[in-house]
Amino acid sequence: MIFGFYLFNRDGICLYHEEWKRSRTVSSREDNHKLLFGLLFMMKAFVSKLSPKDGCEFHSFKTAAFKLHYFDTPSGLKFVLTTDDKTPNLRDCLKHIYSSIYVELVAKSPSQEIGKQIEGSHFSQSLNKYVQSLSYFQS
Amino acid sequence: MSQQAKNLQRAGDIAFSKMEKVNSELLSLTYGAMVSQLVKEFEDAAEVSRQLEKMGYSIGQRLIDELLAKANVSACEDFKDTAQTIAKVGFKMFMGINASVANVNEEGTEFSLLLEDNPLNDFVELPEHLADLRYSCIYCGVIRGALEMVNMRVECSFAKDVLAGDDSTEIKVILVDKLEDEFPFKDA
Repeated sequence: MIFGFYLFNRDGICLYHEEWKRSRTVSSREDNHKLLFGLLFMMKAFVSKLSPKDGCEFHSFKTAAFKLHYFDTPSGLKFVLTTDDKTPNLRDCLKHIYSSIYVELVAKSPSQEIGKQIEGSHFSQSLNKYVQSLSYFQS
Repeated sequence: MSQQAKNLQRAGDIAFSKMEKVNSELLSLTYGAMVSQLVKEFEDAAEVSRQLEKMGYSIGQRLIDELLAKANVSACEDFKDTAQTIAKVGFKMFMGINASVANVNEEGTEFSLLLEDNPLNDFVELPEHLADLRYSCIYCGVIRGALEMVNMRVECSFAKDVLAGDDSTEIKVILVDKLEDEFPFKDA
């Protein structure tokens, strides 16, 4: 079951956030975003320092209630999917979202300013269509 | 050519074959019309070159994501890798240009890109009063914008241009600064 999707840029701005299932209400979306970005930033730094090999990246973490899947690009974009703990690694899905949805609809869109939240419905529609078509969406 | 350059060349060819293509004459003529318009507006060759570079900068900031997503290149270990990636993958994939890297300095902070051909130059002749115009200056902006998004600040300029009468086209890239990813929020 896929719970949500987040997209952050290099400066910590949450470019896009979508929730398909959430049981608890959150205090403030902004605080939630900052917290999540902080966690991702620290995890990345922590993983590279602790790793026995050079150039190891953080892919996901799992708790009893959920799993967080992560993919980032050298250009600083951070793609995140939260799912239930039984879903296998969705890194390839995140890569697909980056190359086929983000690049085509956001990077190439002249009306979309860099560094600002994603506006317009194209990205949202394509993303929803893709995520809802995954077999893991309802399980 | 080193093995790594060969690999990048293959990656560049594969990426080029997957890209949507547009008629090169259409591109050359459209670009030429745009430069003509800029010349009418600004009249000064140096200012037009600056405007082209600025446009290139905006393009580069977005182009980098397309390159990273579609070309299947791994992270660059040093600036020389970056040079080879731009030459073999970047120029090939987006413009079909075969480029090579030359004149890498000892510290690995400067390099030159030699372009075998340049479709933007097709049908172009620079008049006398625009002899200083860097016609393809947009490339310099693209390189600067793209590299800034991957934490490298560079200065990019044309060292030689066939349109100006030189025998080849050469772009010089100098690494000014490597930027570090900083945590953007003040308190945790």
